[in-house]
Amino acid sequence: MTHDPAVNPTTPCPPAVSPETAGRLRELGVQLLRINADRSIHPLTPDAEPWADALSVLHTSLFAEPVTALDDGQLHAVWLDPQADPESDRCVALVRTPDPAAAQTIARAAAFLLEDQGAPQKPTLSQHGPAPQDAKAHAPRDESDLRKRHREVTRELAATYEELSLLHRFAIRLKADASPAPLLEEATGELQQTLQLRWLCLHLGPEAQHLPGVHTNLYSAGQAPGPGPLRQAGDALLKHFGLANQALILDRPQRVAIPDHLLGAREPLVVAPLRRDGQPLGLLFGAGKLDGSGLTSIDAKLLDALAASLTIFLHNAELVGDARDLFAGALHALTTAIDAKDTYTLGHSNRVALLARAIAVAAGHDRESIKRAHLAALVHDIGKIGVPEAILTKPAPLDPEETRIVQQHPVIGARILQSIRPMRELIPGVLHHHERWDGNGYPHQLTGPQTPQLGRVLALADAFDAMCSNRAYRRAFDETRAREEILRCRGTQFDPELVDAFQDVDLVPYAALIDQHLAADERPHAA
Amino acid sequence: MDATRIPVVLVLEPDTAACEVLTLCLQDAGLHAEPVATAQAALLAIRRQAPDLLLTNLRLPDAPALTLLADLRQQPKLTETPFVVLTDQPASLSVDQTAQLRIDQIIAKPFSPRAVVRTVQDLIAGQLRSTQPDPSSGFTPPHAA
Repeated sequence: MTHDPAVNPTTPCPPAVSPETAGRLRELGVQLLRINADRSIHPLTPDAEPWADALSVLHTSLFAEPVTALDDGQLHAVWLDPQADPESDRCVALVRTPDPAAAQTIARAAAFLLEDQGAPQKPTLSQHGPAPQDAKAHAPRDESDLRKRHREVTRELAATYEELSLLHRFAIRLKADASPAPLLEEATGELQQTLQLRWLCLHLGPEAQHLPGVHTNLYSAGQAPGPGPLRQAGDALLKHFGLANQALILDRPQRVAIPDHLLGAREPLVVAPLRRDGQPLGLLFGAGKLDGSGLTSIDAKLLDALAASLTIFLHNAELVGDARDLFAGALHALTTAIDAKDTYTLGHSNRVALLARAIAVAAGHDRESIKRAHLAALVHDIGKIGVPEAILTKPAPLDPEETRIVQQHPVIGARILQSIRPMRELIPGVLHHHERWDGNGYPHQLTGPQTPQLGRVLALADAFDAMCSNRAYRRAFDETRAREEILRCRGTQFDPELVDAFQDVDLVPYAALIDQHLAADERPHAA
Repeated sequence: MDATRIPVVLVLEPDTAACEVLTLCLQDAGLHAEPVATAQAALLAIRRQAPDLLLTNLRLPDAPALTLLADLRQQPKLTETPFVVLTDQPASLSVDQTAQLRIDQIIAKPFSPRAVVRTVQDLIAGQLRSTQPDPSSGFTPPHAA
């Protein structure tokens, strides 16, 4: 067959074909191969693979003619660009038709498809035949089409950026210790903005309202109806959809007992439930797109994602609250146990806690250290649980063996706290609250700053309260004498810096606590 | 700045997707956004027309962005122009550098296009107030944002 230059446009061979183009080529009944300058053959469409091997055998005849019949004349191999340099990479179209002329026409269509794909090419189309008109008809439509599509894609991309940014912000901010109310309010507002809803509302059911820091059961954003109608609608929706598996769009809210007039307009609602362990916690619901378009599954999906995050956040807030309560309860139980053991020191733990905290504040310690000083002081004598009551309440000085037993209480206390993880950080205070600055304390005879700071703070607070309150074996000092005694022991028993800081401590709250404990102490005796 | 003219925002962002998104969103907001991908293209664009605001990525293919910003601040027509920096490494910018270059706003990626547009609008509005000969408008410092 002779080569007709009018039939084939000059088409360079692309290194690859997009799946979309491959699909369109398949519709044309065209398989595509690239024959490289080194004569190696590569399939460009998936269905051309079996031919790559077969053609390598036939290549001599293939290279000679622009069109070659294969497969008993049922298939034709056509060069997409017969004029191309045989030493360059070239494309061959395999067209399933017994007619070589038809094969060439179809191959030309395939060539146009490849150009549409955006392969870099020179517009050197043939001067004759229908091809140029075809190409021209294509060009302007494609350009405006492309521009339009480009804007659409960019707009979608912008919306995706917006969603990503929202999810990212909330993933970071939904920490268990974040304050719920402002966060819920902000989440509602940001979501309404991101989804471009006219309004959005977060309505919490009775399950979620008692959570610490939640404050209200309604958070709304945008041009939302009033709180009354929102609550009424929220309750109705919660009843119907509180346990739904995912967000949904309600085309006719009036069907679920939401009266027409309630939300101001008859319009679809998007509803995303917040549920936990089969319990409805609340729901996000909103209406109206600001640009007038309808609600879509994309809106519902993003709402769902945030509803899930908020559920986890609310659940965590609850767990953190529980853990705090449990910790406080355990502390209270422990201090009560200590006080019950040694009635002469009633309220001692609480008073030492007040003093330790005040000393840590006066010494300029950081917030965490101040909190630790307070908590450690509450349990500093917990080890006395392991000391016989007869020794603790003995109304005379102790003999050496009794002293040895009493001096075990910091070690016993440390052992008790070891098993309670959140209290482990209090151990340095409990274990070392009887060490002295000069090394003559117990249990480890640590000197100066060897004793952990927490231990030094507790030692000072403990000693001061011991001086001021009634002990089994001696009358109480008065406050002034106790202060003098502390100063006298500066640098021997106590950390000098802490003693200096102690001078600034206001003892009025402490005195009030003593009075309170004395009053409480007298009541059981009177009874 | 002339209040009747459409403000020009130069968008210097080598990331094509981000650049397209920013340009479109700024245009949608009624601003004239001019996208460029390199420091060189930005300099050419500025020579043609000084923008009312520069929005730039901190990572540029052909020049260190901070050097470029320092150079631009030297140009008399850009001394008061708001600079907004978009970056995926906000920590890499020190407080001193921010103050020295008078960077008005640093926006961390992933960014919210809406928030960027709002920032740009606020800064341009502030700029407009500070250059209007209206005594009641008072002085708006360039770092008000």
